[in-house]
Amino acid sequence: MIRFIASRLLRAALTVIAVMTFAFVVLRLSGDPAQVLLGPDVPQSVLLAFRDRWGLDDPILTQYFSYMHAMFQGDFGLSMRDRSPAIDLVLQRVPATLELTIPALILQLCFGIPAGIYAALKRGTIADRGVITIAIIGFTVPSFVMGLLLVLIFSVNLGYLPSGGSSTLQHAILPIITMSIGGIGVLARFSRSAMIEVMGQPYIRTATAKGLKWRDVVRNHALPNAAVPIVTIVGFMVGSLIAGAIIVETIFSWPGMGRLLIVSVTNRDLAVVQCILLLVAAVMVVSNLIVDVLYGWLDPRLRNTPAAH
Amino acid sequence: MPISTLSTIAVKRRRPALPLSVQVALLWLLAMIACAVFVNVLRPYPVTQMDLSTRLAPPGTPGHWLGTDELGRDVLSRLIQSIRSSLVIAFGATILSAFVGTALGFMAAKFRGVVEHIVVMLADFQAALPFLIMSLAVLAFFGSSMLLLVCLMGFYGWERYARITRGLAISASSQGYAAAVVQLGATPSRVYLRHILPNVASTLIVSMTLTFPEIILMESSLSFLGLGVQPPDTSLGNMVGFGREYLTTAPWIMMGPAVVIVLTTLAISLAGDWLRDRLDPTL
Amino acid sequence: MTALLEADSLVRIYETRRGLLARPTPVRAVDGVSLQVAAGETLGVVGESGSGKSTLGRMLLGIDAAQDGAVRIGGKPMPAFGSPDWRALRARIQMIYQDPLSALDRRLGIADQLREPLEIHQIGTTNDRNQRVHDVMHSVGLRPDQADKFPHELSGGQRQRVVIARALMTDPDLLVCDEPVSALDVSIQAQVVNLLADLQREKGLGMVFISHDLKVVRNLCDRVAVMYLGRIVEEGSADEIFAYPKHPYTQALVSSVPQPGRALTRRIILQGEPPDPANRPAGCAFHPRCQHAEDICRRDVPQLRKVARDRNAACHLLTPSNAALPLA
Repeated sequence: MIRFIASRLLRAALTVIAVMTFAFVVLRLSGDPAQVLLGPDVPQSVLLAFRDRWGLDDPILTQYFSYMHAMFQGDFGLSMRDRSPAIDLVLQRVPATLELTIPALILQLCFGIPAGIYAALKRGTIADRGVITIAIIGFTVPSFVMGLLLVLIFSVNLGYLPSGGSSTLQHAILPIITMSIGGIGVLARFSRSAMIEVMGQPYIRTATAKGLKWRDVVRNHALPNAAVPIVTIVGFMVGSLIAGAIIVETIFSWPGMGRLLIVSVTNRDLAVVQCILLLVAAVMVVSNLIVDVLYGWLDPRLRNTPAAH
Repeated sequence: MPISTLSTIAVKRRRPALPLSVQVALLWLLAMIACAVFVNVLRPYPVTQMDLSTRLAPPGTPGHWLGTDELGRDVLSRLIQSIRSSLVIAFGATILSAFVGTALGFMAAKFRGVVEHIVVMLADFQAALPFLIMSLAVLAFFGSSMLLLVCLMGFYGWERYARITRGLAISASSQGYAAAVVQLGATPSRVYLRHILPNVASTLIVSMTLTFPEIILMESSLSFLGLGVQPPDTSLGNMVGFGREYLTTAPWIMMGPAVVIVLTTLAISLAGDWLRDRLDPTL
Repeated sequence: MTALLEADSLVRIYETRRGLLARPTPVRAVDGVSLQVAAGETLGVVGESGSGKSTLGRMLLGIDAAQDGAVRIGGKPMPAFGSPDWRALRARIQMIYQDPLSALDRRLGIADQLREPLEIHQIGTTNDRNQRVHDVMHSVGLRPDQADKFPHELSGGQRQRVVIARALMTDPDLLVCDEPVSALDVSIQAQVVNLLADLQREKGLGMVFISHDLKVVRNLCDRVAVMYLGRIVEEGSADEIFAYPKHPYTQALVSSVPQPGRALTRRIILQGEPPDPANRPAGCAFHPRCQHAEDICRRDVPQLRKVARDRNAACHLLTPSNAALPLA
């Protein structure tokens, strides 16, 4: 088990380094980094100091190492807008994003998985078809369409909920719902097929043949086994939540990290973009790591055999 | 008459009926493709033609079936043009990603060792970041051009094809028919082109029908955010993005493209599911 | 007269790893095997799993390279695997597989797959090829209306006939069959074995028949070589070996083969572990399971040498003078 965790940690670390290298390469390719990170109307002396500090006239390998060094110290450059450190700007916005993503994740887990499992248990009935249809609608309609639709219905026509800004709790309702719908659909469909596959296994038939009550069969045999693939897909959901945050925050003018990303990209405020990129990569890597470890723990077959990759 | 001849008057294999939903889906897709191909014939007005006297006209206005936008441009014309843009981008990207993914998968299967490790690492890297975020970063650094957009979208999903081809090529070459054909004296190119690739093709095609709608959604999202297809070109996401400002006053500007996006992705998903069911049990 | 196929002290070593961090252990799958097959003759190669017989089969075809020793076809050395000479040689030597379903492309009709060897070696015109497909199908007992069927639409026996037919398309001189009937029902086994015997007689094919199933080998083969852990321990004419096995291992094998009309008495049941090529015993590889083992058996590896007029065996206790060891 230790070996398993260690190899996964190593892979995670390598991935983060790979993303940093990617950002480095792309940054270098897109023009003079000093110009690009500091913006156009900066006096020559500042440019020269910057180049000196970041060793932009050094051989490329040295540059790479000082870049990595700076990254690890949390120095991501200055935002073009107000010359404040990019990292501060980004971290400031994180809580707002969390206010949306965490409730959305909870909603997805609490609605999506039970819906899928229920549909699997009642397979073929109207309830099952209903769940599938709603799930399909959920993940086929892109989040920006869904968001605008919800605004149209609830804000414009019915006037129940506000359509922008983040001052009150009510403001959060539509964004959170928009963010969670797609994920609920995906989770429901996936949980359903995972559950169906588990239910078709011979050991379930054996359990019922042994005389166990149906409820116990489901609880003790079906669910734990279905949990394994479901956990892996929850790992994917984190990524799509982050991507979803970008769109939802833009639609609802929510002052979170996603909106900052769009604004920075439009303004080519590359220090901020770079910072957000690395932050997201770190979050993804950590969540994949947790999922991998959880997966290894849940599936005993993986625990004692060394990772075969 | 001899028994063997009787059995050659074989019962024609009955084709399983197409479910109604799939028929409708295919019809819709045909209509979309027709729009994309015959855009110049179908489109009533050029997309940039402005008619400032009929701004924000609702649908049903004579001459403008789907209404006009804030600059008096005909929504229907722009819609048809957008269908073409989005389909072309998605199609180009799907082919590109399938090509790259399949090639990498074959190479990983044939050469194993270092090559395989590199391909796996690249796939890991791709999975480490949500594609939207990576695209935004690239677009931020390099600016949005049409060519860049198609190339970028072409990176979407290549790892799926790579994984499939690698798996199938390995299982074919180690135990099965590929080894047998080599033992018949076939050259490696014959083995790959005549045997392995066709066997892989059906799985690949199903994978392509799954990635195609995802690419449409990805490009629409990028365009909606203002970073995908840039004006004066239009795309479906683009139109929704610009129509957003007029959500309250002229919702038809964004409804048309939104509905088209949803119906098209739904149609491809349905058709893809049906295709997958059809292709596998036959074999 | 040059033998059709000649193998000379073939050695093949695999490196296996027990785990990612363990040292790789060399496994001698084939350890100094020499044999000959004359034109029109069937040589049976018999052994348990782990004896190296499948690896030997692949080496005879030139698919697995020999780390030591040589293979010669018609006097000429086997070309390197994948080279154009090697590919051209395929028209003369062919292989029959254990699992016909995986040896056939599931997407193509069998007529197309039968035509393929002719296309690869560019034999004949289109009409000639179609005619030949038709003829060969007939000679293996397939009906013409089955020409467009897919492999999964045929029965196991029919599929194996397709594999045999495909191997015969280029009119080869030698067939290497690797457990061709093990996956079939017993009644179908008999049909396919009879088919192979008939074909061999008609066309004068040489055949190497690899199997663990002695009763099939007895029916089909002219000569037999018994393998144990990568070495040949006994070889001779099939009738003689089955009637008078000399090596203790062969004796145990033969005693387990049912004879029609007689109860199976005097079975020799081998003690000890089945052979593991990664963990080869010192001296004679068979000594842990042999009732007659002596000190020399634990020390020295016995060489394959002539012990009777038409018999070679690798056993310290067998000399030309003491013809047989007491059974049991």
